[in-house]
Amino acid sequence: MDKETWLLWLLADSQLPTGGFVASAGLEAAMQAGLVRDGVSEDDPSSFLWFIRDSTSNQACFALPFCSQVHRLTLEHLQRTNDTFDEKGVVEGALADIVRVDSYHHSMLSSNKVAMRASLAQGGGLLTLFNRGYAQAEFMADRRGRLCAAMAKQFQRLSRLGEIKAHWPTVFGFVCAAMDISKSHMQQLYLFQFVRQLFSAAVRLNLVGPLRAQMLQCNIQPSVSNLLRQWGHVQVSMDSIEAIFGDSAVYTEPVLELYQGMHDRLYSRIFNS
Amino acid sequence: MPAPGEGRIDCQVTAGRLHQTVSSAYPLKIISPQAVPNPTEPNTDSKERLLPAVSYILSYGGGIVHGDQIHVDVRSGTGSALMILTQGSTKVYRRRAGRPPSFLKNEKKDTVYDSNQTYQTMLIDVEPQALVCLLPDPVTCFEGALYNQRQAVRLHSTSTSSLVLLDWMTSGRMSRGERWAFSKYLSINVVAILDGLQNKKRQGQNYDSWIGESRIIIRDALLLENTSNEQSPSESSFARRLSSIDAFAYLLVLGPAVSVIADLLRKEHMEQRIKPFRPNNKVPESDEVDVQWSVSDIDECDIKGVAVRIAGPNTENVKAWIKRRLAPLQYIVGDSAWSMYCNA
Repeated sequence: MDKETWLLWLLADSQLPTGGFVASAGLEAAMQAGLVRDGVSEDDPSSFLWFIRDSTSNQACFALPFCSQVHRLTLEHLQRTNDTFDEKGVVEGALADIVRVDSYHHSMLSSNKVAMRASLAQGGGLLTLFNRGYAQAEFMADRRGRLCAAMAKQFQRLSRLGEIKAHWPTVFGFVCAAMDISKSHMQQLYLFQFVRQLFSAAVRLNLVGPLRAQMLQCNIQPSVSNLLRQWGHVQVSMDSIEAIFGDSAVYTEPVLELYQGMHDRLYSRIFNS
Repeated sequence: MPAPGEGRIDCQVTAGRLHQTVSSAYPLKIISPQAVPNPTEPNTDSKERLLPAVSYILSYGGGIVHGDQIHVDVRSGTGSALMILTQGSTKVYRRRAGRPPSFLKNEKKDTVYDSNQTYQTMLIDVEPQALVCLLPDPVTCFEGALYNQRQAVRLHSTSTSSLVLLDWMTSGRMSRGERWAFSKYLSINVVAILDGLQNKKRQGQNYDSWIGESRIIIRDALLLENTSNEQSPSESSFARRLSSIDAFAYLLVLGPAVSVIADLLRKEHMEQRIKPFRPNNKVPESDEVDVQWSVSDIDECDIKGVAVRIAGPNTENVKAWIKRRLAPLQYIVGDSAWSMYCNA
């Protein structure tokens, strides 16, 4: 068994201690407010299954590009160490780039407080997990590994100082790059985790039974594959006003966003978002 | 002389008087009816009061034809409260074969924009102690239309610049049975802080240096477009996803001048609890019954306010919902400016 596969399985674990189990990505609010209905056929537009499909496709164009961007930038900075001994400079250069991408993502969440809360909680959780867990593993003991650990430490320091927010897609992209997981595997893992988390929320909200949920998760694979084909190559562009006005990072689900915003108005709730 | 489709609105207060200058070139037209402030109450500080101004952004033919590249630069100077309105919904006509007429050619932008699509761009600068209310009627995209709307607002002061921004759309020409039948709708709303406050007196914006001088705090980017390479088109179509609504609105209320509106929205959000859904729940009769909305608190870099999303199966209900929430504006911009918005 190769190292990458092993690490992928670890990261794909539903027990990964990042706090994902408290997030329903708006499913709970959508259900209580009547957008998603219990007990309707899965072909019905108000079925939770459509919610999961639409929400996943929204993630693919809204968050995945940020994840890919940070992954690419981290690898580029690690490459630079082949030509320089200035490791401090490499760490600082990488973080400067990550800060820019992360704060741009932050601006895209700043008018959706519920989604922002979930993204910050899980991003912070994953960064801590990396620092306290993976960074100290034996496979990280080589030069590349130590450099990544130094970046992660600086990442956490800046986040404590409030200079970086550490959003989930940003941290995810960084951690995968640090653990030497390829871009395409990272993208698959990102969407897999998102879909799995939503199905798990659906099971706990009693929208579907656990056995049927497994079957449905098999069936959704071709759609996720399509999304990766469509959005996997997208890079966030933010260096000119035309780029800011462009469609390189967008959301496609205004109604889901609206219902997610209702989360804090719920009379009773089991999820945090 | 502005290039085709370009325009400019500039408000300045000097010696207690408001001066508004506007310019525009075909197919864009901007008109500015006079707005008068409410008579001063004896015990209010007149220095704190904003002087109202109103501008209507119009287009010849009542809509935007494919290939149009509308661009408006706006500056609201210290002491002014500028309302930007439209007269009736902005119609985006369907795409036609062939290039747009050559007299609309804008050399400068031809390389950047796809001449088959329609663009409307607005760059707004809000100086300290100024307010801009961008309150257009909704955008209605006809079948096949390809529309790009881009709005960037720059607040010159984190503590005293204020903004009300409404961006909304309908499903199309409902009377003709056209619902969500356009080809592309991309709407980007950006709010930024002007970096380097020593620059605040500069005249006019430079499009290319905008990014270097601004720190982005909000970017709301909505794309509705059907992708052709999808295996089953109905699965991804936004017409299915939006089938239950006919109007969607995004409203930003930011800054101290309009904090009373933001406070009321926050309060309503927390008080209107949602009980678990039952299909036979009895709901009280009102024109707001079918309007769904949510409020998100904003507190970024000292800029405080709310973002509101509103959707409903009927444009009139959504409009009524918004007007009711914005009613305190009457006291902020004065009766005459408010009535131009409210009675439209």
